[in-house]
Amino acid sequence: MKFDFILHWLWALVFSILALSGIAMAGAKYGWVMQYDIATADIVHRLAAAIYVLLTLIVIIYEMIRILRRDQTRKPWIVFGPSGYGLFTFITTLIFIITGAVIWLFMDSNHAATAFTLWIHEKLTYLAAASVIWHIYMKTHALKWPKKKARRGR
Amino acid sequence: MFNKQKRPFWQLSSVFAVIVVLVLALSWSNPSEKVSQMDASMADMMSQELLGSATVPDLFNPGTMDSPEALSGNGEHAGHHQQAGKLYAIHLITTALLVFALPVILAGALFLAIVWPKPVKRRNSK
Repeated sequence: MKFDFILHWLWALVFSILALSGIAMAGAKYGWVMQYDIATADIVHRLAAAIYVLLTLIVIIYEMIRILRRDQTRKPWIVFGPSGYGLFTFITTLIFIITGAVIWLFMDSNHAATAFTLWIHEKLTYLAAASVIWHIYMKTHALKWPKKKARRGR
Repeated sequence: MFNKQKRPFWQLSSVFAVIVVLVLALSWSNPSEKVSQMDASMADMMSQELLGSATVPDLFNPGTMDSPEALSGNGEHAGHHQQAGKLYAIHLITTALLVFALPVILAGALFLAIVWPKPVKRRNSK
């Protein structure tokens, strides 16, 4: 199994956990997502965020190594890219990590910065969640199970 | 209306729609889980309370916008950092990971932002 394929689906899983636990904490309206257990949602969100940061680090280092080695092979499953949805994911991920780090590190010491970054973090979540639906729609062909004939042909 | 090639997407959507309906039905059938009257999200409430009077320098000055509860040490997060045990160890490890990984991620992102546009330009010129 290819490395970029594993990274893609690991990314999708971690992002789904982050989105669900984050939306559960976003406000009283959405608490039902995790049965109003905000404490668990907080722990799950923080643990998933650490894995998300680690995955981002791995993808960036992987992409840097590819560029330095002048590797021109096409990687259709790679999460970040210089254009299209790969670029959108790259930019939104950086904003998510930076705003998330400010909320994480300065929640007790700087309420103004926390309020500002939390607002960006939350609104970006809705945009990213909507974009994921669009992304799945555009890449529907990836959901089809490969036919036996096509496999033999390869 | 429906594109045949997009059928797997609609199949997946219908599965998720069923899951959402089931979760909503279970959630609303439980009388102890009544939705609060607070319709605004946490971010909207915080920005209404704190950002209305905040200036740009406040975003960079720790402690200038602290609430009286936090200043007196009775805030909702007071005491969290004194907690011993597994949870505190996880908090330390994940915070250390975040603090050490962030500069590397930013440096790597800067590197990609500089290097990426070149192959795209080359591809477009072809």
